[in-house]
Amino acid sequence: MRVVDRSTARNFMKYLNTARSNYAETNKRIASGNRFEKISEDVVAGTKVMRLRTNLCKAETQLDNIKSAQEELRAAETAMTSINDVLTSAYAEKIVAALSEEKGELGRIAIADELKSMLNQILQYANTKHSTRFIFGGSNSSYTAPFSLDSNGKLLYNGIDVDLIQQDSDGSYYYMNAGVKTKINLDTDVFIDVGLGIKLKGSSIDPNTGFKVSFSGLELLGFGKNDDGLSNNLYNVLSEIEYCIRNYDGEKLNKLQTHFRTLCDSYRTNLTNIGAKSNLLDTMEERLKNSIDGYKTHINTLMGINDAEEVMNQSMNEYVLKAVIQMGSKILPITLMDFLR
Amino acid sequence: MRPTFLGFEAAKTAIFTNQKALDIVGNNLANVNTAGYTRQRVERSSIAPIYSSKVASNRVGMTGQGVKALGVSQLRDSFLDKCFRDEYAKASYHAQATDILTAIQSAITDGNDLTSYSGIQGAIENLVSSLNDFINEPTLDSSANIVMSAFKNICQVLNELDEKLTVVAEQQIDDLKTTVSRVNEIAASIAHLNETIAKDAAALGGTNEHFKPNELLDERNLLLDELAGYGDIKVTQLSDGTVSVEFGGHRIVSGNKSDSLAVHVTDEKLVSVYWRSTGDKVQLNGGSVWADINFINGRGSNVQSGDESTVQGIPYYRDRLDSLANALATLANSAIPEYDPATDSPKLDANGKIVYKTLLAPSQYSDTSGRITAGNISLSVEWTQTGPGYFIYNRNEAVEDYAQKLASALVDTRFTFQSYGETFTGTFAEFNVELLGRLGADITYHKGRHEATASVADDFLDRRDEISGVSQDEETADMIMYQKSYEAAARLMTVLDEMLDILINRMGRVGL
Repeated sequence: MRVVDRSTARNFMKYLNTARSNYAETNKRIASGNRFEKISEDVVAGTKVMRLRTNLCKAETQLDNIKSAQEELRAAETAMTSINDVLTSAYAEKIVAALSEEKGELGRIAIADELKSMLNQILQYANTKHSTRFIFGGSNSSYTAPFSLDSNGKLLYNGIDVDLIQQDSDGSYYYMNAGVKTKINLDTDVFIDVGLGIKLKGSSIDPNTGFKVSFSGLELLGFGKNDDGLSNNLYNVLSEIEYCIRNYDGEKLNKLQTHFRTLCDSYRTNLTNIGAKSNLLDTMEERLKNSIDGYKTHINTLMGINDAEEVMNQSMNEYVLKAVIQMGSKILPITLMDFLR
Repeated sequence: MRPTFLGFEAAKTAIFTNQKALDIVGNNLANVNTAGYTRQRVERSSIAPIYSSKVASNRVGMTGQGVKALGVSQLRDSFLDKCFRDEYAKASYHAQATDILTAIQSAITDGNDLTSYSGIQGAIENLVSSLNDFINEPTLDSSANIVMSAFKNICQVLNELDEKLTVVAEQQIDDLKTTVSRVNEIAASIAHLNETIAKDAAALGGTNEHFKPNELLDERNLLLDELAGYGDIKVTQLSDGTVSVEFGGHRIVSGNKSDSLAVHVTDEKLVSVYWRSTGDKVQLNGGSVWADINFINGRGSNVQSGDESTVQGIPYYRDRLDSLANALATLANSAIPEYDPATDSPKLDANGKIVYKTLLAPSQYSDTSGRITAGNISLSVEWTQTGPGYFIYNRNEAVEDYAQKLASALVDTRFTFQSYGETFTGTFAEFNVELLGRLGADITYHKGRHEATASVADDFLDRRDEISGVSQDEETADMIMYQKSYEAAARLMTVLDEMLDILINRMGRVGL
């Protein structure tokens, strides 16, 4: 086989170019810290990285949502606890005191006045706003507070008398308006995505897949009437108690007191519910933080370089490059001509 | 009986021939690095006395007349030429395909840098995050403004990608025009060379297989090698020394006539390359011109007309971006209903269907009657004029369902993307990933094929050089041989001269 200068030179240049580009490639990898940047350099790993990016984005968004939900819960808990304190004070001290004969009329009127101011406090706490939404107003984000009083001092929720409100089997509230079943306005549930696999049922969110951050005031303070015709609403009951104390209707007062105690007990379940919700959020937060770490690590594994391996590749490539150049300097210029006299 | 001065003939021809051989050695050495040079050699033969005379001949006396230089030939194997050119056409096709696809990849930001936030993936992530912020406060203008900015961002990203693809198409079309003019130039040059070579053969009175216009042949072969890179060629050697060349099955050079190609560009940036003589489209099997045509006109499975090719090229990826834009607009424009305060629910039109707000529309600076594409998608006039609050369904009630539906469709729920021929079902993020994966896979395939075919082409080059290349060592050895032969001939002449001196000056003179 004839060895020809032209093909020796051409092949040498090919090897040299390959060695150079490998060396440059290694340097680029070490400088950028990434094994590849373009999708064509590693298609399989690249598509995995893109999918992981999407998952990472979802998880980080969900984590942000959890943080704002936790703030809302804290605000709700504060308001609920304040109401609870008022209710406890009303029941344990004022009503009991009023029932005992010692107070006398002036004493009872004084207690009635105190109860009136407590009612005011309950109303204010119930109308707490967190950012743009009323905490206990369902989806109410308007400028009108959810709880107000009618001319008789009875509680209205979003303009409807709470005693008239009933609950449907699917959990939504309604009242009968001239024989027509009408939904309570501004009282839909608000859900956010905290990583429970949020899905839509029709055009609204499936309640099992989202985290509810709204509270209906009706859940909180009660609604409708019980079998004895007494209001189930804490405010209305307390309001009646205040009226009874002021006008000393002892028999009714006894019935109301018992009923009020039952309502107060069931009110406290709200606080335990908040506790449970808060725990759920903490668990989800922990899980999401782990997921986020996991995704970031996985992306790094796919895209990042193994430092030790890459540095070793770099010295290998450098060695190869030098060897090729040296070899070229030995074989290219030497011909028979150099050895003739 | 031997002629007296016969010996001088042998010495004289030897001297001439060796001088010529040394000239050729010098020529070879001078051209050791010349592109396309084929090594040359003096063809010699021994001068024979006349063997077939009917008259009694002086056979013994006339033998030994020396050496004759028949001509200077070149050593080349035309079969290896053909093998090389075929392989080179394939390698060029894949190289050009890789180039065009890599240009498309650079235009699509995500493909160029997988960690980028300024591509489609980043825009989708931004939109999802802003929608979730909005869901937390769905009645505030400030959160609606963030959503508006995110939508504006994704529209701008799509506009930008479309623009970049257009630039790639224009650049590739310009390249193609340059290549086609080069092809035409080469064809004309080959035809001209054909003419000169044929005249030379005629001047010699028929072909002399030992003496051809070597330099012209080398030039012609070099041009043929280059032409093979542009398209598959078939070369036929004719008896008058000319070659007839077919380019993609069509005769481009025949004798001293050549045909030429022309490029026509349509408004949709499609190209058609056709023969000026017949108007037929060029039909190639390989080469960079074929790659250019395929990928500039490549619409994949969305082929709409005969001009387009089924390869996934620039129009295909533009279609993909258009599908994405169209799907985004469809989704956005059926997401937020108009609020009817009278019924406290979405407004219904005359047919009882919900009236949705138009969020995205073709830009007012473009043709607004057509389909929404990546090039013209923009925020709707209603949105920009009404302000960010347009996105809010009802300022008095926290309704987050519609925004949640939008956010889910981007990364969670499946949506159907409809293009002309292709359908894809998946989330928006998945659509983007599939697009990139397809592009990446195509590039990897063509790169791999290019490496394989280029390596085979290089191998043929090496084998061709084995026969036609100049080896300095070999030439040096030959040079020594010719020099010694020259010296020997000169010495022979000296000996003959001395012999004749005795015969002429000393024979018959006694005592001197």
